[in-house]
Amino acid sequence: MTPLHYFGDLVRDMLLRVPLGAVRILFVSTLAVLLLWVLRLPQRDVSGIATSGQRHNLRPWAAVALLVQLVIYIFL
Amino acid sequence: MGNLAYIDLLIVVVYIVGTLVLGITLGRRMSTGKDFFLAGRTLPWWAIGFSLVATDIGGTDIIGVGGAAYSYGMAVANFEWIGCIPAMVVAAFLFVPIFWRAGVYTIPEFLERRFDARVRSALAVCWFAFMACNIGIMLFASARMMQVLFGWDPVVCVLTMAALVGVYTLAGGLAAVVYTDVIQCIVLIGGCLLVLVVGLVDLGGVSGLRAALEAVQASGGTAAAAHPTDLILPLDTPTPFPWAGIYFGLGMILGPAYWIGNQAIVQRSLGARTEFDAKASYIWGALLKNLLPVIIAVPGLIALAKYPGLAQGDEALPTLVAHMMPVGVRGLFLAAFLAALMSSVDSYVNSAATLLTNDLYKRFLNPAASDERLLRIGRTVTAGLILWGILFALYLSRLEGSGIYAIFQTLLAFFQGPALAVLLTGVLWRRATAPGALTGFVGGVLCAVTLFAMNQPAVYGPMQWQPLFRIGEPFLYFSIWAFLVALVLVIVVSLLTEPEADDKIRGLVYGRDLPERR
Repeated sequence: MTPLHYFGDLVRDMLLRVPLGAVRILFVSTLAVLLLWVLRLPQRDVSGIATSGQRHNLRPWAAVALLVQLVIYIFL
Repeated sequence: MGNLAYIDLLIVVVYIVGTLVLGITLGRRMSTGKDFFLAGRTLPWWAIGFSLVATDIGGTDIIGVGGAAYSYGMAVANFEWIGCIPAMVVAAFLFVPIFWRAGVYTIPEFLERRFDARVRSALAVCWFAFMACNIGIMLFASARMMQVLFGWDPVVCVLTMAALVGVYTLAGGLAAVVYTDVIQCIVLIGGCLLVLVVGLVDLGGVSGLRAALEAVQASGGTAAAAHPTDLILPLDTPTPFPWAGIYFGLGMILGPAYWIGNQAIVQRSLGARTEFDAKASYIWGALLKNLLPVIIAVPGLIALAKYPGLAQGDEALPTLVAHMMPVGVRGLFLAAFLAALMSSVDSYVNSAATLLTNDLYKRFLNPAASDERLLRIGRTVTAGLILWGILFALYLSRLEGSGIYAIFQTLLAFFQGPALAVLLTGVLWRRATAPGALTGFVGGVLCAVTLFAMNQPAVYGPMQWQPLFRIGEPFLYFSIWAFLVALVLVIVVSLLTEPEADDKIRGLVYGRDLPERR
C-alpha cells in the first residue's frame, strides 16, 4: 500500500458516508446556482444582435434548459 | 434486424443521396481556407446547434446508450444531461464569445495568443493524435456494429462509410459538415422518436412501461432492474455510474472540457456569422439535449420491459426495432444510425484537418501561406485523414477483443482534465502565465498517466498492492485528479512567474474590456 492508497481509501470512506438524499441536494443545488448565475448575468453577456439587426435575449432560453434539468434531477 | 423491406432501403438511399447532394452543392462555393475551415464565418445559430448535437451522438452511441439503459438503467442519461447542459450554458456565455471575438481557427491558436507557442503545440499535438485515431475507431466500431446488426461485411462498411463522408467533407469543408449535420440530426431525432412512440404505445403508455419495469424489478436480474429509472446511484453501485464519478468527473471536468475545449465541437461556433449566433447555437443545442436521453435511453428501458433476458445490452435496440417496429420505421432507424455515425466522423475529419493545417503547417512550415493555398492543403489533409482512418480501422479489425475503444477513452481522459485547467485559468484569471499553463498541462497529464499505471495489474501485482480504483473503467476519476493537479500547478507556477503584459491578453480574458462585435 502506498500513501496514495491510504488517501484514496480515506476519500472513498468519506464519500460512502454521504447519504443519497444529500447527493441529490448537491446535484439540484448545483443546477440551481447555475440558474441563478444565468439570471444575474449582465444583459450584454446574455443578449446579442442578430443579422436582422434586432437585439435578442438568450437568458429565458438558457433558464428553460436549466429549469428542465432541475425538474429532472428533483424527480429522477 | 437483417430483413429490411424495400421501403426501408428506399428511406436509407434517399437519406444518403440527399446528404451527398447537399454537401457537394455547398462545396462549389469554396474558394479560400476560411471558407473550408470556418464556412466563411457565415453559419447561423440553428444550424450550429443541430450540428453540435449530431456531432456529439455517434453511431455507436445510439445503440450503446440504449444498451446501457437496458443494462444499468436511466443513469446513463447523466452523460447527456448533467454532463452536457450546464457546461453548454456556461460555454455559451463565458467562453464561446471570447473565442469568437479572437477570430481564431482553433482552440490551440487561441492558447498561443493567450499564453505561447509551446502551450499551443502541446495541446494541438494531443488533440490531433486523438482525433486522427478516433476517426479509425469510429469507423471500426460502427462497421463492427453493422456486422452484428445486419450481417454486413465490416470491410465493405468501413470503405463505404469513409467514401460517403469523404466526398462531402472534401468538397464542402465545415459548411458541408454543419448543414449535413442538420439533416442528420433531424433524421436521428425523428427515427429515435418513432421507435420511442411505437414502443410506448405497444406497452400501453408511460404507466404501462412503469408497470412492466416494476415487474422486471421484482424479478431481479440485471443491474438496471435494481434502479431502472434512477439518475443518482450509490458510490458502490455495480454499474459504471457511481454518483461521485458522475458529479465530479463528468459534470465538473469531462463535460466542460468537451464543450469548451474539444476542437471538433467548438470549431462550428467559431464559424458563426455573428457573436450572437455563436452564443445562441450553444443554448439551442442545450435545449435539444434535454430531449435526447428520452428518445435514446428510454427505448432501452422499453426493451428491458419487453425482452428482459437478452445476453448483452447492445442487443436491446436492434431487438426492439426488429420485433416491434413496422416497415418504414426500421428504415428510418437505420438512417438515424447512419446519420449519427456520419455526423461524428465528418466533424472529426474536418477538425483534425483544421488542426494540422493551421496549428502545424501554417504555424511552423509556411506562415505566409495564402488562403487559397490553405484550402488546397486542407483538402489534401482531409483526403489523407480519410485514407488513414480506413487503414487504421482495418488494422483495428485485426486486433480481436483488445478493448481498443476503452483504451482511447482513457487516453482522452489523460489530457482533457489538464486542458480544461489551462483553458479555465486562461480565460477567467488574468494572472495565469505561459510557464504556469505549460507546467500545469504537462504535470496534469503525468499525474493521469501515473494513476493509470498504478491501476494496471502488471504494476500493482508484483508490488503486492491493491488496484488504486475499485471500478472497471476509472477514467472519470483519472480526469478529476489530473485536473486538480494541473489547476494547482498553473496557479502556483503563475504566481511565481512574471505576469503576462496587459496588451497581450486584452480581449482574451473574461472581463469588462470587450466591446461587442457583429
